[in-house]
Amino acid sequence: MHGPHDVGGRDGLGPVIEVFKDPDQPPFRYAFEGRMHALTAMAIAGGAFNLDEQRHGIELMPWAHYTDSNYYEHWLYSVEKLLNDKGIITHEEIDERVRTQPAGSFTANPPKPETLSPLADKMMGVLWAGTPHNVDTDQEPRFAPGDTVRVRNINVASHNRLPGYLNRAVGVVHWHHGAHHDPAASAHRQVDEPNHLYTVRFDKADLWGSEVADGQGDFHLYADLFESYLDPADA
Amino acid sequence: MTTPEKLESGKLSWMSLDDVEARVRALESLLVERGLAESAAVDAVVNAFENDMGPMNGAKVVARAWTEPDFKEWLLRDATSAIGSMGFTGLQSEHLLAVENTDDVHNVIVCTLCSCYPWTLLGIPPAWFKYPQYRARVVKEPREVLKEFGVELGPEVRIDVWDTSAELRYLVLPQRPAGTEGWSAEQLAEIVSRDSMVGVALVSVPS
Repeated sequence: MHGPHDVGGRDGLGPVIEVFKDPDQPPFRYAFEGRMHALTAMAIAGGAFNLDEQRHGIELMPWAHYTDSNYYEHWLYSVEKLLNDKGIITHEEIDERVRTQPAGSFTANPPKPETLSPLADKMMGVLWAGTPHNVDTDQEPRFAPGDTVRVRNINVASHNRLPGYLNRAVGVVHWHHGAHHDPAASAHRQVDEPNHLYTVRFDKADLWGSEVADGQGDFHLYADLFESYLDPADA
Repeated sequence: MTTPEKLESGKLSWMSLDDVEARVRALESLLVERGLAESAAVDAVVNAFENDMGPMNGAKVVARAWTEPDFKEWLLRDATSAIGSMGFTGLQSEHLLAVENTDDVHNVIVCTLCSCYPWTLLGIPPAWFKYPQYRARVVKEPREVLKEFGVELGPEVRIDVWDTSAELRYLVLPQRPAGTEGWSAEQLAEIVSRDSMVGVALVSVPS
């Protein structure tokens, strides 16, 4: 879906925020950011929801909220919604806890615990092993490097990983990466389904028109796109 | 609402930041009660993100590629295996591609849809990578955005912009600066900045 998250090429969001460019900015600018990040990773590892559902939850945010908020407010919004919709923790329970919890604040930069609980140990394993997304399949890829493809005109209001600025653009397959799990199937049906994945190269003028592209010198735009987003260019 | 002051300070929030924190505290305590989290485990994960994952890992990969031609060839051909051999496989670095800067091509990475980034190699992405401004603009006016980051490229240099819209993660292999002949991999790793591995900076020798 082309929700508020799908900002590629949009005008009017303003310049890159100057203070953010300071190379000494810490990984987490506020203590709640690190907590939110770790809690999300833990809830995913615990099977409460998956990464694609979490991304989709962010895409469903109201536009103004998304644009004007702290990055980890996006995560909070999505995690709250998923836990509520799945009956794990309701919004009302969080409201109630906010009202009744003792005053306090998170401690930034927590030290490494001296001993790891089984859950902490499991999380360290997740951090340093990862969760690969490739899926075995017998399906033959439809495209090969060098093929010219046209991005399908996809405007469904459900989860996918197609940036809106690429709708209907014509590009050339640069790499084929085998099949990865399909984000839509994962977000909406919680299943792993194979979808061949390609890196596709686009021409700047085809994307933005010559008035804009000419002023930017030579550049190529590459995006990682699933086979289901692509048609042969001559189709 | 966004105001120029809020934008300049980077303190964007829809709720107040205190209210966000209170809500995350409430969420944490409820997740603990449901058996989905433990506060000490959260400490451990935050600590790992703040200390063990970060650009010092990516810098080791770059420095090794600069000093070992075989490793560089491996990194460019199969970055996932190459970084795996150094122990840097992990969350959000499961499928890695390395793209090389040359005299003719400069690479820059973006995730227009969210904030995809190789955590084990570069750590938590910087705020500019995660907020909408950079993501909106760098796919459309990369030369202008790079200039704002202080990277002025000649007209002969093509820019390759990589929108990491799936589960592949990218590492820019920057150009090794002149004046570092004979340096060890350890010395070289010291000068490889995070921003150079995303493509919004060049590596230079500190004066």
